[in-house]
Amino acid sequence: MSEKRFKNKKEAKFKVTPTKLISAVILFQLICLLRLAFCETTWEKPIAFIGLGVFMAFEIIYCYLIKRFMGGGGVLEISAFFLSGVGLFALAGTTPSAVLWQLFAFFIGVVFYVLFTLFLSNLDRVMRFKKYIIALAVLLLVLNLTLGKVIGGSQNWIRIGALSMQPSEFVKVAFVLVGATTLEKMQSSNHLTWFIVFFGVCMGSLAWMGDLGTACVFFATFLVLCFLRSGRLGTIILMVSGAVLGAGAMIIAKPYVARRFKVWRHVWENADGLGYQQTRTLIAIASGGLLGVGPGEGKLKGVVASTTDLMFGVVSEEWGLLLATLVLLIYFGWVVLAIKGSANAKSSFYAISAVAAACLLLFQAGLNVFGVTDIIPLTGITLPFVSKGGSSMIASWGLLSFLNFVPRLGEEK
Amino acid sequence: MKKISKRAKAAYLLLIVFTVGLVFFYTNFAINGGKWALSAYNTHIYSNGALQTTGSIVDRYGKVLAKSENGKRTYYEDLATRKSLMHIIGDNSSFLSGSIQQTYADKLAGYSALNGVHMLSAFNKVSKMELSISAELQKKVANAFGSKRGAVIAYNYKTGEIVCSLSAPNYDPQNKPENLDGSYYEGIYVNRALNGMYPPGSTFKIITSIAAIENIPDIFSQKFVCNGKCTMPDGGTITCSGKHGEIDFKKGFSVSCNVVFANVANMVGAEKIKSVAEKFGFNQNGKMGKIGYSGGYYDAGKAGATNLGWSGIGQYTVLASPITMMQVSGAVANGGSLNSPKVVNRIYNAFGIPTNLNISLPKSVISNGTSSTLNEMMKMAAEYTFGESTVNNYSLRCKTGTAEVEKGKPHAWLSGFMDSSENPYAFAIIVENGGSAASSTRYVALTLLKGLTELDR
Repeated sequence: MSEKRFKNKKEAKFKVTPTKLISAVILFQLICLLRLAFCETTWEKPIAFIGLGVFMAFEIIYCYLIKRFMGGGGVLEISAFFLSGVGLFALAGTTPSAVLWQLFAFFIGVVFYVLFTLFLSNLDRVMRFKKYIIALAVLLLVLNLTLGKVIGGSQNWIRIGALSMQPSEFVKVAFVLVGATTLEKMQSSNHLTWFIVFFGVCMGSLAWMGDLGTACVFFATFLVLCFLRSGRLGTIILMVSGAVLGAGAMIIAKPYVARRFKVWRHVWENADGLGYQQTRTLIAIASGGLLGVGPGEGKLKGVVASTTDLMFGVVSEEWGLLLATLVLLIYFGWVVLAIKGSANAKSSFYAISAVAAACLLLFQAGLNVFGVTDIIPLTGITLPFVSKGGSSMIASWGLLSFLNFVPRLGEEK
Repeated sequence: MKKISKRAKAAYLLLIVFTVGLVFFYTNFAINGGKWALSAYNTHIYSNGALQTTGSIVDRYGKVLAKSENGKRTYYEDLATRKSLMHIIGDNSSFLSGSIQQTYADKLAGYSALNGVHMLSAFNKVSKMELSISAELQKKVANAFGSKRGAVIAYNYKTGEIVCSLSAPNYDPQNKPENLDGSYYEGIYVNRALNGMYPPGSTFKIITSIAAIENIPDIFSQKFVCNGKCTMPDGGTITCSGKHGEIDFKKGFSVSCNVVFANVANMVGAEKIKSVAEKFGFNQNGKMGKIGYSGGYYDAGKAGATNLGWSGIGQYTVLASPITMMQVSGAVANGGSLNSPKVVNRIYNAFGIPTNLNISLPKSVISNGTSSTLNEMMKMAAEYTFGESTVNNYSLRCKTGTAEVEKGKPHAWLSGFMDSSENPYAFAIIVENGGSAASSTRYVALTLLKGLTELDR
């Protein structure tokens, strides 16, 4: 008892407030900005600088508004700001021309986050809109399958004029929402059937597109959702075995995937072939060391998909493995937060969706980082918030909305 | 609600898996980071697989042997010197795996887990390695060696510093020939001075002698009879280069009588010879810093009397590398204690701070008495080969070897040292298919000796 009181006292003493947190983030970003100023390649691109300035100003204003009108909170957003910042600064060092576009996606993402959070706050409304969301998600997948362009081996892109997007990213948000609501009302088996059908459609489309990475993310999220509701380990094991068979079928059906599996743990023997991205990422990480070689000084930027799939390598090489690790710890922290907060959530929908969304983000980050470092087969997936890409950025903010409904650090009653 | 938050704890499993993955990755990074960073695919250092940007290498006097400037790797200005250093320094390719540029790639590039190759890429600050080699001596020796195939290696037996190391054939590291086919270039990537394994011929008699002196008390009073050949107990024949008549052990050494040493080997036995040979690094691989070298091979355990006899004169299956035969002479010169050879004197980081310890601990391999006896015997042998005046000029002690090979003329060997505190150098020379050792190594040896006496002056 006394021990517990002591612990509380200690916590109170070192309490992390959102104000302190945003100050630290801004200070960190100022240092990054200073570091960028010393970097020749970006100094010639003042637009990137202006973009970063706007970004930082926005962070401050957002946090001020939250404090002023919501009376606190914002820890979640600040951690996502940090991640987005790492992505933006890394882009400023490698491809400054992409900063503004990424910043635009960031703003859309934040707006989406705010609106989606408001939408989620009314559970009845969520239940009413569910069927439209399913319809929209299926429509996106159908569009993807019919209009899809094959980029980097998988057909998960659609292009409208100059805009290209990855619809499967948005389907993730819908998937968590549909999964959590369906399982909320488990009484009717009809609901469950529909969810499983929806899951099947998602997996089928992704398999058809050859997007194994996203398929894995969906499957992992599906497992989390099912376990949270049923608590039956046997069912989970059964599903995993089913998935292994499915994956086997996919490997046979898609030679592109099979080849990726073949080079796994043998990337150095295929350094100029299918091990190209992994070996270059490992070289980049080692070249950067813990502290990095500095923005614009890296060599990984010359590799295809460096700022999307290989962003972990770019951040490591130019800004150091320490910072890249800090990025990973944030996804990690979100899962801890979701687990701890789930006990005090207002409804099981919120508890389930928060845990599922946090797990999805961490799982995706793991798939990305361990894929490019050849610990698992490379699947070609983005690092949430950090990788370049509008769809990924917006969808990541959407997923973060779910974490809003579990009480968190500094906001416990 | 409670149920769900309880089940939510299963997500800790994901956290554990993620942590395990991270730990695995960091361990990998700690162990292999240097290898990744120094991969030939790393464009911080290489361009199209060719070495471009890394630290500089200087000789014992600070003369630049290799450096990078504006993304170009250049080597010593003089062609003969450059070629003679190619095996030690390396070239822009990654074929010379035992070279400084390959084995010390991480040190040269200033790699550290903390900073990666930051010093190199961002500040263009490079580390520097100082070798114990003398570029000037390399040049003299390389010119004397000419277009022969083989190796020359010399070191200071008191400090272990290698001052000269030549392996031929070689090529210009700055302009690597496109076509390295043909018999002349056979084994071009092997540093013969360190990794060439040759039958040592009569130079091995030094080792047989050590075994004999340490194991046969009356060896010096024994008499042998040489009729140009002799028949061994198992019916085989040992041939000798001359008819030496009645001859004792010491005389047998100086004139290199095969009959004497075939018999001595049988008196001592294979195991004792092997144990002496192993003290000098036979049957194992050596290492100087990060550079590996071959020791030699001796095993006559299953040999009959004839083959054991041949093994005692460095034939049969016996093999030795030049660096090992150099160390054999070095240990005799140094009163029986062996300083392990080294080629890197100092490694300076990007800030000019030395980062390596430059110490070597000698190990005693033979007794002081044995070494002084051998010193005397090698003096006699040197006089027999080079004449008194040369021996006196250089305080030369040596032993020739003419090693029969399957194809072509025999390999010519010379292993020896200068018994002088001012010039404490030991050396080994091999000329492949050189024929008579005395004549084919003579000019190279004299050039080397003269060059050694001019070192550090």
